[in-house]
Amino acid sequence: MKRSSATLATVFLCGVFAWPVLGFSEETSASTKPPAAEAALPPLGKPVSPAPNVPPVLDETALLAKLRSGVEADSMVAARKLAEVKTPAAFSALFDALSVGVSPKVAAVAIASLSAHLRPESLPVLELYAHHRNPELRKRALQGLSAFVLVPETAEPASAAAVKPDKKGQKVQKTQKTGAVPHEELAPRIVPHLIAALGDASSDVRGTAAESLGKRREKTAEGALIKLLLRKDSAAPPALGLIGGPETARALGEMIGTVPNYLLTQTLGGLLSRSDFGPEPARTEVVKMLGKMPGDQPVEFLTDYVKATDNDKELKARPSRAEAQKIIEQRTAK
Amino acid sequence: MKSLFPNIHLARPFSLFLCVPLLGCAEAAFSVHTQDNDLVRLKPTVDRMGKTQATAQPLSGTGHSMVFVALGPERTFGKAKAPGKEGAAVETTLVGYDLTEQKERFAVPSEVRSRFVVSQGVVMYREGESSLVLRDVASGSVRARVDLQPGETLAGLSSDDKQLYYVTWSKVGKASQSFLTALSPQGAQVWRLPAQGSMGVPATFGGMLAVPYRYQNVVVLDAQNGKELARIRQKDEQIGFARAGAHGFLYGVGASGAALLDEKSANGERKTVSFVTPKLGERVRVFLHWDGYRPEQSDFSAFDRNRLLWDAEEKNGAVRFAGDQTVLHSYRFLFGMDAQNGQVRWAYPHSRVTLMASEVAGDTLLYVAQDGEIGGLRKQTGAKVASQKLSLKPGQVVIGASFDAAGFQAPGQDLAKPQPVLEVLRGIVFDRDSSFLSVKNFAVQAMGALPEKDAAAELVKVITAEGLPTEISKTAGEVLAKRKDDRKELAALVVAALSQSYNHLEDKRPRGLDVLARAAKDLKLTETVPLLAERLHDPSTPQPALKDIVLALTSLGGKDAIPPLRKLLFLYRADPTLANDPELLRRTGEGLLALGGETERRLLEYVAREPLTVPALATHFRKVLDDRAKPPAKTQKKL
Repeated sequence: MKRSSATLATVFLCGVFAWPVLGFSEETSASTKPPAAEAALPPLGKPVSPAPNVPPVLDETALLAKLRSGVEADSMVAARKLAEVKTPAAFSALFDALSVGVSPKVAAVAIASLSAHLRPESLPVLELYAHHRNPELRKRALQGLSAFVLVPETAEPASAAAVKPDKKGQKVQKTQKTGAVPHEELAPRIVPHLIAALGDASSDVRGTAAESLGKRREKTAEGALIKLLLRKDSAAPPALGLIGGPETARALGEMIGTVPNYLLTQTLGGLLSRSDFGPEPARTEVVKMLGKMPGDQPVEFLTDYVKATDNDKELKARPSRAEAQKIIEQRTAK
Repeated sequence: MKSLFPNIHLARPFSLFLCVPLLGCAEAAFSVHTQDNDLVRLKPTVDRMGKTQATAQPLSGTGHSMVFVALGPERTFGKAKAPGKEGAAVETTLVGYDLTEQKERFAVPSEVRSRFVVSQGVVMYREGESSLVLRDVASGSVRARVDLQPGETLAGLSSDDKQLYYVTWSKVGKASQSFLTALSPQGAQVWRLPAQGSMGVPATFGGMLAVPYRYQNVVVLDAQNGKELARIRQKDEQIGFARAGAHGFLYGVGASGAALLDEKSANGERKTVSFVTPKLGERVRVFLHWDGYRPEQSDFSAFDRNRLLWDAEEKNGAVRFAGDQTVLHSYRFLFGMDAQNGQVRWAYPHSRVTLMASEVAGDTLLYVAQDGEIGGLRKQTGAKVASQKLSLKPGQVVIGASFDAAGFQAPGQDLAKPQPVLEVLRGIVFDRDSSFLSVKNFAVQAMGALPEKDAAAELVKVITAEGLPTEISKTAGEVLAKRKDDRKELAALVVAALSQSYNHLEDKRPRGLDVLARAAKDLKLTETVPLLAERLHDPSTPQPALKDIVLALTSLGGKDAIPPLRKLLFLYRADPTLANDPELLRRTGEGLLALGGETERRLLEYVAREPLTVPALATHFRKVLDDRAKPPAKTQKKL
């Protein structure tokens, strides 16, 4: 059903305009403008990728109408397609739809599409849905928020960065972070949401938050992640492995007996596989702790460490490597 | 027109009229022809009571206060454990304990089947199926045995300082018949009165008996010869029991009150007799006395450990509970209650085991605990003044006990100081034993009546506590809402409690938010609006609590109340997962309409007409808006 723009404007003025959380009046009014006027509007925020050179082949007006049609399937399709149409009108339509409420299924798609626009103006809506009663929507909203402060397509896998020469590794990482995080300036606003989500009732939401924080190497989340590990949450080890420092290693040592061994092993393995984890005494301590852990997994982590340090003379000379070799020999000899 | 003689059902009024002068002097006791509520006959009885001093001596005549205790295997649901099980091997015993000398007088094996009554050196009770036994109070030896007539059921026992009485019921065809029998302490029948219909267990006072009769009457008899002295009839309520007080007879009126037997009793209506009822709060089941018409209550049962201990007196023309205090006995707890306002003056929690029997004797409250402890508390303070212990055989517990301890003098020194009431009540509420729900409920209610500031904080703790039944939390909220504490202090407590949110890391979860929201609304705590708004949009807030939060926000109003309501309505108006609670969003929309102006009306109109809105909700709002749009109906002028 297509509604006259005048009606929508009235509704938004009395509803959303007066809604403090959604202070997006400029875009709201833009949505009521004719398509030509919308096309002339400059894009808000810094574009992540260059604007498409070719005009969209999708019928934007039809998509906007479908989005608010009341037919769930049509709305979902429209919401999905509007992610590809990175025009202000498409953004406004998604923003408005989420602001005034859609069904959870449509909302899930709309959040993903809105996030794809990567415009800071979408933050209020994403923050709103980060507290939605539906855990799936909370998760999607957190993913959308994380996208602002993460390198697109995620950072390099931990193992790949593992034992590259320190200097080189740092150089590579710096380049990646400074060059590709879309909106690092929003981190002070977004990161607290992610840390708070570690206490969410849904394990999915907690997992999403932990993953994002891990990818960001968000040091401020270390305390919360340690608490998450103490709650025996499997979302904690990968993130903590990426973030943790010597203090984390010491804390892990005190958790033996209270936290399941496999979770401690994963965390220790994560720490050891990082090129920037150190200093050497801390690495040696991690190796020794891994040596105390039962099962095959610790040996695998130690083997990976030994292999990764095999090609560099300096790394080969590490006492932690020698300790790891000793442990492997002892345990495989059995 | 009212009949002059409502109890007379003869078909010949004329001949009856001729007989009227003879009534009262010629009729046998319990005669259906006897006139009730006859002030001429009642007055001498009342005068006789007034001239009588309540006995301050034990009925045994020995001058020693005693308690008679039945021991045996633990009873479940009023019965001993089934034969063949552990209970069968445990001996049932009657113990006579001398409270004055603080020593056990006797212990004899006996199948005790009723409470005990005492008179002139003997203790009488039902033993086995169909006999009464009279034993010497000093030695426990059998003085006499009285077999009940075949087909008769024992309804109850009574005694005074001269005789012992028992009531039996039997059926003759379809008609029921009752018998009241007086026995001498030697076991000889002194007199026996039959009556058509049911007699209740009699009370004794000043050489008279007050017998509940046919559920609406109390028949007063001369104890010496059984002659009927007076009869009262309660016209609007049932009379369930008669008992003796310090100043005369008392009788139960209805389910929760009692009246003094005095001249006003002839009025026969609750509002005009000397009626008194305890103010213990709506959640306390009032059990004033054993039901005189329930034979099973003549034996030891749960009613012995769930009752109110009280007496009534007339002062300055008004009837009141003696000393303005009653004592509530509930399982292992005793509460000294202010009879005027229901406030708990003192509370005594017995450790672990139930108190099986209790009685006020002089200024002491005596009890017998299930583990054999015989204890005493000061009636006014609850301080413990006596504690002795019976020696029980393996498997034995106390089944019940009866006291003969009128005028008992407690030792001068307290054994232990009474605990602060709030501390005791807190202990009761948070006791891990969840079987005493009614006591916990009572304790919460009692907390609310305490003037201490800490009581409000305790109530908030109860509301937000983990593992307490919902009912308790609900009561705490209701009680909190009635507190008269400093408003700011109450607001601070509720605000702090409302700040709680789910946190997986800290293993915290919100509790009692619905109750807190209701309390905030009732107490008009506008300071809570921001936190209520926060909780409304906290995904961890339990869904059932949302409605109360919405109602509280609507009621408290203010500029901060509208945005969270708007946000909720928009965010979930198209969400079918909230369809199981349609009231939530309806109340939200209606709240917005009530709080806001034209903007909110237009907002609601949008929600009502937007196709994504859940159809039932849209329909509801359309109707609400249509109703508001209609001009007020004009009053039709009468032609």
